[in-house]
Parts: sequence; C-alpha cells; structure tokens
Amino acid sequence: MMLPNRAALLLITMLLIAPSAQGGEPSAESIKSFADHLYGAGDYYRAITEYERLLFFYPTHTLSTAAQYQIAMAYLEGGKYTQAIKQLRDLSNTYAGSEIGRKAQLSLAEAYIRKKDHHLALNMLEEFLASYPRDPRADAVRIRTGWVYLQLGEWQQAGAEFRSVPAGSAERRQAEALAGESAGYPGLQKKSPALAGTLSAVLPGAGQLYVGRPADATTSFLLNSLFIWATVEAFKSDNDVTGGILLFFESGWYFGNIYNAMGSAHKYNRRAEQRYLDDLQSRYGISYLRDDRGRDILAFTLRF
Amino acid sequence: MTRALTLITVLCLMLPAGEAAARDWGPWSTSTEAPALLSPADQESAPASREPALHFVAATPFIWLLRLYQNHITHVDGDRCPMYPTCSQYSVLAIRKHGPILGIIMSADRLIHEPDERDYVPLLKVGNRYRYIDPLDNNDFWWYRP
Repeated sequence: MMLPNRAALLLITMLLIAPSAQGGEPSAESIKSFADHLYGAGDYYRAITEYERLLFFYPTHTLSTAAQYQIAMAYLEGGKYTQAIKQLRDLSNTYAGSEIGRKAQLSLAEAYIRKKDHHLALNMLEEFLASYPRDPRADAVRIRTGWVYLQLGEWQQAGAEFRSVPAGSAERRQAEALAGESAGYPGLQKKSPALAGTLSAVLPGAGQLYVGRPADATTSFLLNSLFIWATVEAFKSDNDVTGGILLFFESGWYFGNIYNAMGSAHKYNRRAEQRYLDDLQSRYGISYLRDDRGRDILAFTLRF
Repeated sequence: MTRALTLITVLCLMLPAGEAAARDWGPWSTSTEAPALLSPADQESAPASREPALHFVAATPFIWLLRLYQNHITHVDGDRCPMYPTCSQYSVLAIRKHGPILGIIMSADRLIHEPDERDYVPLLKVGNRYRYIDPLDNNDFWWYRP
C-alpha cells in the first residue's frame, strides 16, 4: 500500500534531519547548562571538561568568558588553589575593570584565603577597594578584609576595618556589630605552647595533659619511660651498641614529645579561634559574589 | 635482660608502622564517595625541600629504610596505621620536606598523637578502609611558612 504523499515527504525529511541532529555538537547554552549542573552537584572535575568543551567549540561565544570564570571557580571549589589562582589572575588581568574582571579579583582573594596566603588576600582586597571604591560590593569587601585580619589574629586592625564602613551603608550596622565583637578576641581561652613544651620536657606527657590530650599524654609517658629504662639498662649491662640504638630512638621520642605538646597547644588555640570565627560567621554571614540566578557563590560559609 | 633489650631494639625498628599508601588515586572531585585529595606524592602541602641537595644526601638512608618497610615489611605485618597519609608515608613526606632531624621528630609526634587526634580530624575512605586525615601541614602549620 502506498503512503500518502504528505506522509512520505515528512518521513524523508525526518530521515534527512536525523543524522545531522545525532552527530552535531550541542549548543553553547546546552553545554553551559550541563556544566553548571555538574558544578552544582560538586563534580568539579567533569564540570571543567564541559566548560572546556564550550571554549573549544564556541571560542568566541558570549558565554566563553563565563566558562573561563567557571573553570577557575571549579578549581577553587575543588581545592586546586594553584590552578585557580593562575586562571583567576589571567582573568582579572585580561578583563580588568569589567564585571568579570572584578569578580575574578575577589575570587582570587578568596583563593588566597583558602590557600592560607592571608597577606596576598589582603593585598587583593585592598587593591580592589583602591581601584573600585564605589563598587556596590565595596563595603562587603571592607568587612571581608576585617575578617581576614581576624583570621590573622590582628583584632585591632580588624576592628578598624569594620569601622571603616561608611555611615549610611547597608552594611554599616553589621560592621559596627562586628567591630564590637572583634574586641572579644583577646579574651579567647588559649594554651601556652611554651608552657606545654616545658612541661613535656620536664615530664614527658605533662604538656599533653595540660592541653587536654590524656591519651597522647599516656602514650608519650609510657614510650619515653620504656625507652629511658631500656637505654639505661643496656649501658649498665655494657651493651653499648644496643644502648646507642635505643638512645637514638629515645631522642626521637623525647623531642617528638616536646614537639607534640607544643603542636597540640597550637592546635588547641587554632580550634578556639576557629570556634570564635565560626560563631561570628553564623551570626553575621554575608556574601559579595552571586551567580546569574542571584545565588551566593562566595558566601562566608568558607572554612577559615 | 640482654634478650629483652634485643627484642625492644628489633621492635623499635618496626615502629614507624603503616602500609605504603595507595597510589591509585584517580580524577579528583569533592563528592563524598570520592573526595578531592591529592596523591601523597603530589601533595601541595609537601613541596620539595628548600635545600634539595643537602636534604637529599642526609635523607636518603631514612627514605630507603622507609621504602624498604613500605615495599616489603608492611605486607607481612599488616596495615595498622589508622591515619592518612599512613605513618610511614607521613615520615617520608616529613623527611623530604624538613630534612631527617625534624622529619624524625615529626614522625615521633605523629605516632604519639594518633589516639587523641582522632577526635578532631575528619574521616576519609581510602580503598575499603576509613582513615583519619592528618596531613603534614596539620602539624607544621605553627612554624612552617612555605
């Protein structure tokens, strides 16, 4: 039975279209959308591949700049700070002054913060403020600068930075509150690394007890006691070679014990600072970078 | 007494416990099933020493002993280190980064702080086993600036 002419024509047309649809590259928008989906799911490794695909097939597309920025952000969120910094530095230089250049500069500061290069981050933030004092994010950047000073333990400088937010700014009230909070920094409960080290030098394990690590204290005390006893007995029994070997190991345990006590005190202090910053963050969290849909990109939900 | 001392000496040679770290890290991500972590050899937290020639000469015998342990002994005595990087790999990284003296002191510190550190650091699934993440920069952050 013959098909009606119209149906036959439709079938032929579909057959002609099908191969081209199958083999063609998706549109730049589709690739970007899929890459954003992967990025949103935290699959940064694959998201970068998709953004790179967009750049390869559509190098001059309007979305290509956004793709470059997203690659940098994927590196940043994925913990690849060196690559993120390189990419963001290139972007902020290439697009200096434009919106993407500014965002890249702020993200660069965040990358330095996460890499714990706080002084480089401060340089970036201060440079941003000097270049774009009227940028709508300027006051949030001032507050962020204050946060970085707090992370460095420079609470007085942090307070000054918070107070620099001008009257009339939407962030003024928050900045004033933070300036008041930063005064509480010196009151943090901390342990003295020097005292912890001295205690452990006098009695192995004592410094660990001082910083609240009883299991480490027991381990340190037992190991040092055993090796000191064994070393003394070896030398008493004229086993000088054995005694020398044991002395070598005991030296490692002894100085390791002092190092451990001092390091534990520093860790204790770091946790105290972290709790203080986390508490401030939970009460005063802000963000200054948002994506196209208005969602926070770099909110103060970062680990300091 | 002599036998007891010899036994202790032999035991001390086996103390830097821990199996050689797995080298099969694939592409990175931050998903919970495959967290973003660099392979021990590539860790940014353990860059090459500032004095490579001096450290290389002094560190070589210690690294050699640790590699001997990782490649031969640990397969026999079993996987006992609960941390990541494993204790022996941590020693290798510490000696490479800070030289043998500080590296050995940091290795002793690692072995001492194993019990209490578990209360403060996150877990990571490595192969079929969960380990506590305790990289080098968690223990030298208070004095070392790269």
